[in-house]
Parts: sequence; C-alpha cells; structure tokens
Amino acid sequence: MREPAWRRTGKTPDYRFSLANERTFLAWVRTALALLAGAVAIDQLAPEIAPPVVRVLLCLVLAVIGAVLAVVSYRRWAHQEQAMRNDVELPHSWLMLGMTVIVSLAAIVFAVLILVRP
Amino acid sequence: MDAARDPGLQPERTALAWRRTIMSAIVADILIWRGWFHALEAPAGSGPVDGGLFAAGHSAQVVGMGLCAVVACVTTLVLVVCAVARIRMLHAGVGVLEHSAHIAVPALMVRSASAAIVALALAAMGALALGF
Repeated sequence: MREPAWRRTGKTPDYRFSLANERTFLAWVRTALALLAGAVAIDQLAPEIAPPVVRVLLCLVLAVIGAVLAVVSYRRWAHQEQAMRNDVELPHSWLMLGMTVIVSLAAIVFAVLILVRP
Repeated sequence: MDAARDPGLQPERTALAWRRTIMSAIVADILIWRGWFHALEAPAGSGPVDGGLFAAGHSAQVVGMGLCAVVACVTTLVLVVCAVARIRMLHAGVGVLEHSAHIAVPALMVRSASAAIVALALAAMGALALGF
C-alpha cells in the first residue's frame, strides 16, 4: 500500500491522537451517509412533502452536500495529521460552522414544508 | 490485567466507529435498493409488470435505477472490506500500542472510504433523478 509523501515527513503522532483523528473522520463520513440516506428517504417516504420538482431538487442538494462532505472529511483528516506530524497548530476549519448552517437550514426548510403541506 | 492495553480503550472505540459507519452505509444502500424495487413493481406510465425482476421490456428508468443499486452495493462492499481489514489491524495492535506506526490507519483505507461515499452519493443522485 503506497502512502502519500506527507506521511513520511515529521514524526508519527501518538496513537491516541491518530486514532482520535480517524474517529473524527469516520464521524464526518457518517454525517455524509446520513445526508445521503435522508435525501433518498425523503424522496421515497414523503413524496407529498413538496411539488415533485422542488422535492427532487432539495434531495439532490442534500446528496451533493453528502458527496462534498465525504471529500472534505478526507482532506480534513490529512491536514490534521500533517499538522500533528510537523508539530504545528491544528488547522482551523470552517467545516463545523458550515455544517451547522447547512443542517439548520435543512431543518428549517423541511419544517416549513411540513407545516405548509396541504 | 493486560498492562499494554490503552486505559481509554482507543483501538476498541475506533473499531466500533468503523462498525457504526458500515451500518450507516447499509441503511443508505437499502433505501436505494428499495427505490429500485418500487420502480420494478410499477414502471412509470405503463402499469405493473408481470414477473417483476425478470420481466421483458424494462424501461431505461428501471435499468438505470438497477445500475444505481448495483453501484451502491459495490460501494458498501468496499466500505465493509476497509472496515474488516481495519478492525483486524486494531485488534492485532491492542498489545503493541507503543509502535504508533503499526496502528495508524493506512491512507489507502481513508481514501477508499471517502471515494466509496462519493460513489454512493452519485448512485443516490442517479436514483433520485431517475425516480423523478
């Protein structure tokens, strides 16, 4: 298995930190999977939630966010480990703020759709 | 009492995190399959098809959704293979934690898991678009 070049720089982090980083990656992956499952579930189980075009578009947006989140979570894992290897400050990430805003927006949009549903 | 065991059970917790991730993937996978089975039972416009899965004359929609379901299944299998290999590594590494390099996750596994989710997302998008 070929490791990327940055994995040979600096020192190998303490296993506690690298395992914590791995679990954080997996937690973001599960968030992405929840968005995907949610998108498909809303489309299939709540077909009356909105006009079909709006419903499919909203679900597609959720699925796209899930795909982007999967890529971002890999990048975040790699950047955190690079910082640990080179003993520099862990990089600041907009991921948490971004996902908070996205999940809140999704909750508001679907709450409004449920309320105005005929 | 095993002196080398991590007091915070970090390898065990990481193994459980991989298991939870597999379960989440299976839920998304099953939902995509459910969409395909519904499309098989009632193709848009043409009424129910006798024989379901093996009936002749499947529409492009049903074939496309079947393709999405197969892609979803393959991505779940990739995730399961990654997780099983990783869980074995973690359990084997419980006693030799001082060798940090041996218990760190291989980049290939992280990449494969990430790529599998992107492929699963594409399958979900395909299923959503075709179900419309």
